[in-house]
Amino acid sequence: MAENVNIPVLRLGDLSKSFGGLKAISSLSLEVAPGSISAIIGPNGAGKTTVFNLISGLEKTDGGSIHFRDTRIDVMRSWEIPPLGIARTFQNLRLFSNMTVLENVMMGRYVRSRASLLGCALNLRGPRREERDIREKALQWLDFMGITGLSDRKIREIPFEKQRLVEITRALAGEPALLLLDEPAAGLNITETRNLIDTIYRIRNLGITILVIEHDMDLIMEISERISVLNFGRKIAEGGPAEVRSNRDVIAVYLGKEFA
Amino acid sequence: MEEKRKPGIPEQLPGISKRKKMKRRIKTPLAQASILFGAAIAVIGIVRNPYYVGIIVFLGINLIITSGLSLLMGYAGQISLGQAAFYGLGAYATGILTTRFGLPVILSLPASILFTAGVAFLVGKPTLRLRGHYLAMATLGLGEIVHIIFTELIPLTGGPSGFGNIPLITLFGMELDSDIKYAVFVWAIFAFVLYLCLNIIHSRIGRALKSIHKEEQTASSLGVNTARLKLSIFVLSAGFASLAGFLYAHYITFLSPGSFSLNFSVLLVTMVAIGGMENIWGAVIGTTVLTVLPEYLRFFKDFDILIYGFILITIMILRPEGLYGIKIPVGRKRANG
Repeated sequence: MAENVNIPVLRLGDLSKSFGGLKAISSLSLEVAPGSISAIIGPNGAGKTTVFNLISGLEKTDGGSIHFRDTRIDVMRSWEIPPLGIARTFQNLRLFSNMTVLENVMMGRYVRSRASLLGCALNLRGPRREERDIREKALQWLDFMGITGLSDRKIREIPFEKQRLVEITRALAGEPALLLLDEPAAGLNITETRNLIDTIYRIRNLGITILVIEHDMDLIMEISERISVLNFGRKIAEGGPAEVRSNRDVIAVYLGKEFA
Repeated sequence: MEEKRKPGIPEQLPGISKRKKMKRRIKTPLAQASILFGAAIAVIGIVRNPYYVGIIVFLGINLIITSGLSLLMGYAGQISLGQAAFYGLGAYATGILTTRFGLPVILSLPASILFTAGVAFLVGKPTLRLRGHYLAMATLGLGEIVHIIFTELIPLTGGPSGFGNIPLITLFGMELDSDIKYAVFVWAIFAFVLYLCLNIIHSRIGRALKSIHKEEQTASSLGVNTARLKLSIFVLSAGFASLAGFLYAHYITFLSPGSFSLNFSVLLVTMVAIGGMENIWGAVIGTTVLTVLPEYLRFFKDFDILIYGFILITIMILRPEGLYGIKIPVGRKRANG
């Protein structure tokens, strides 16, 4: 993956978004450096998931811009964005319960395949070869995540933690340059969270940039190189873990004003 | 895919038994479509009685429509109440082209399918951009419009009394003039349609359709252009309905508006729903049951419609997800089985 080190993978410029009278995001600017693990934190309702929805095009921005490398993506439709190399997971797991684990992961490779309806219907050689490739790559990613054994299981049959991993695998199967993780540790116990941290490192070592939203402060402080703190849709602090931890505003938001 | 596995014991791929290999080979679309075709030929050969073979012809025609509808309803999650209209457009297009304009059948086939697909495109394009059941409403309207055109455009359609003298199909120098020949022809075409559908289901497109059905937003966040894909499937299903209409026109050789009413559209949707929407074989079962059942109910004379309704309600109460996958102790019931 040859990329210009100087250009941020993701750049939010003066972004804003309201729902009715509620300002979910106001003039948020943010940059994500290539190959980094960055995080957005903030209390409930701070607008973290809204940021992800704006980046992935599921919500339209009210103002400002979003750039992926040199491409402006806030003007694009949601299905045009993943092919550029952006993949995401969802806080409340959105796996396809009518498919097996393998099929879910194969679905993640939709962006890297192109067989047409007609080609598929006639089972032409190209689509057939592509389908084999999709399956192979999906299995490789399942292997990377250490869950090959679950391939043929239905989503409902596997434990919550594994479902989380399947969703991450599905996102990885599209071989993104930027991976957005929406609260990946929510609902996981301590050991499971430890494993998740290892996995996140291994993903980063593949050269994939990671932006993560999280409540779990220990996880964030451990893995992130750069943290942005949101409160009521505004960025109140930014910096490395140590910087953010000692920031008065952040302490006020998280622990109450009397601690700051 | 359906074998139950003990949890935690992943099965090793290399050690698949011969029986399983065999099973897997039977599961390919080509094998399934061929087996069904073979079974149909066998049934036609055994039955022979022209009246019953006629029912088999209609079953084949209905199945061509409902397999497309199953892709649309069960996989893409959209309901169309316009399939009878597309069926009618296919039939009237080929009827008019061959009788009024003297077009050879071989040319009127692609012409009528393309024409119908074009109409479906125009109806689907604006409505499928919206989420929800707008397609059902739009196609409901389309059905009425098409029906009115059939009745009122008398110079072309002959109005309510219809028109006839539609030529028979000649295949490799052989005129398809008997029910048996036509039944084989229709079932060969249905087998091909089923083959296409099964291929689609087992491809990236099939997965994308299933994903739209479950979580449209998630599908688009994985790069699926949901509006376009739903539109393609809708146009495809209209094309299949049109093909069925073509087969109907050259079998009956006479067309009148009555055969293409809203009632038939609703019946087609019911066939897919009764059989089970989660699987295309459900549509095959539902269509078979609802095409053959009325024939058996003739025994009850005037009460047939009552009993028919009673059976439908019973199925929906006892088995809301459809007949597909029901375990019958004697063995699984399949089309023509």
